Amino acid sequence: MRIIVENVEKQYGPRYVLRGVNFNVEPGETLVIMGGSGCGKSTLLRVLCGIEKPTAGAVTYNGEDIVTLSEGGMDRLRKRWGFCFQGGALFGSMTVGENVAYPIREHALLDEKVIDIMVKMKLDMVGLTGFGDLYPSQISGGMVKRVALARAMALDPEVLFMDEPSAGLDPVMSAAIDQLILDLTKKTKITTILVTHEMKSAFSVADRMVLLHGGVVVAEGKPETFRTTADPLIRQFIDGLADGPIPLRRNRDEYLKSMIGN
Amino acid sequence: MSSRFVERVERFGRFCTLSGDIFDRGVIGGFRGQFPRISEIARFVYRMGVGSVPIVALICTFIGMILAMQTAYQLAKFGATLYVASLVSVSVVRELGPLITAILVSGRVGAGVAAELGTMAVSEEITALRMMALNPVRILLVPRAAGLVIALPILTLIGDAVAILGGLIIGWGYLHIPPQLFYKVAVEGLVMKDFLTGFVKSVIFAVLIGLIACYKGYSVRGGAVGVGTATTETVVVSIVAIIMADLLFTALFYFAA
Repeated sequence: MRIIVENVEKQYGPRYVLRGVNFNVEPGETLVIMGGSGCGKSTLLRVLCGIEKPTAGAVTYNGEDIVTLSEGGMDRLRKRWGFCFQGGALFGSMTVGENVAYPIREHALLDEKVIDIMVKMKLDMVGLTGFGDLYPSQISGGMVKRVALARAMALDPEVLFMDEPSAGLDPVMSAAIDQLILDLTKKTKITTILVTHEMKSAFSVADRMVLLHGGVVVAEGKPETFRTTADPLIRQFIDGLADGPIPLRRNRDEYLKSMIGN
Repeated sequence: MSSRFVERVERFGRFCTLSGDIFDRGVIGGFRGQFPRISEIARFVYRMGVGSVPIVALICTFIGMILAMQTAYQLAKFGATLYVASLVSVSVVRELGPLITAILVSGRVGAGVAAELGTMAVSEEITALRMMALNPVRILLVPRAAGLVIALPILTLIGDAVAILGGLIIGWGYLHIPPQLFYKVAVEGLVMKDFLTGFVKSVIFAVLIGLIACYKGYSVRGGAVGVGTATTETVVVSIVAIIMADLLFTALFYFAA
């Protein structure tokens, strides 16, 4: 599915979160949206999948603009998408297996035995065979993310959205999740849009990257381009430096001005 | 116009829109062949109804006893203590049964519904449903509202029965009215219209509690504080709405009679 993002703007009251965002995602490609905390990357992901409407601009999937699409049209597209939430968003009242089975039960008229086999396959795919009877509260954070991924993949989507899939996990679990995403996206040729601020994860899974800063795309390209760039803003972000074009520290005068207000 | 007033009008507008959506998917949808899931509704009727029976039975028994003692105090002056039975039965079936049961249910079930939906909103479970191309109103709100509309009238009937039983206990033990006689006078005092009034009231109260709890829970923003606020507001607004509706309904029946 080809995705085109054109001049997308998002405004909350007087505050602009996204300003004129443009990029394309080719079918089968894994695009990683990077940026610091509060740069607008999660908002951009929510705009891309229609959870929030942009203030201006267009987001088209194979030529269909979701900004002007009806709720029925959105549902038709959403059946072809999978979404992995940052916190998992698993249904707490259902077991792991029931969570994965839920979209299948709702959208496919299949026999319970077939659904059961499909659930086992999806759980096996994320390395959670035998965990189907546990509740989300009984499994670890890493497992929750993997179940969320299995549920997002339940209906074999054409587009997969992922919001910070490895955030808050230990390095080993984070690497395991990255490897899992890599395996899935390469095997299934699924178009993936992933939001992260974890550089290691971004470089390991991306076909192409977009760096967002202050609601604007400041850089776009292949991972090699980002690795070798001399651009001070990109370097500061990739190398995780406190000093650079991204203002994190203020001098004494600026600090006083912000405190006393003149 | 103050911004607070505008905000309240907007909130009321959102409440009406959501209520319309629940009605459309829960009632009108049936005419389009889109029926709400019966198994889900049955699950909520059981959870809301059976779970509330002990508290409704306990409180309504006490209400019946209190009513019997208070009315006996006045009627004794006229030597008419036997009429405690019909006074208890009529006031319970027409007024106190539906009212007390609805207030108890708004505290127990309404608050629970708001907290459950609010937590689902905060943990993005509702957004997850939308992302699966599933309508949260159809899946989450309709079964809860329908469950309440079915469970509350049944609970009210149970409440009425145990309140009359409470009155009977006082009549027998304290006023020395034989139970058979108390029962006979209590039943003879009632007419079909009393039952009908009580039943219609309990359905209206259930609709109010269901819609308010669903709206408050569904619109939660802002984490744990938002869930707490929604829960409290559900109980307070439901009780106010129930009593206002009761007044309106009673006045309507009083003047229409």
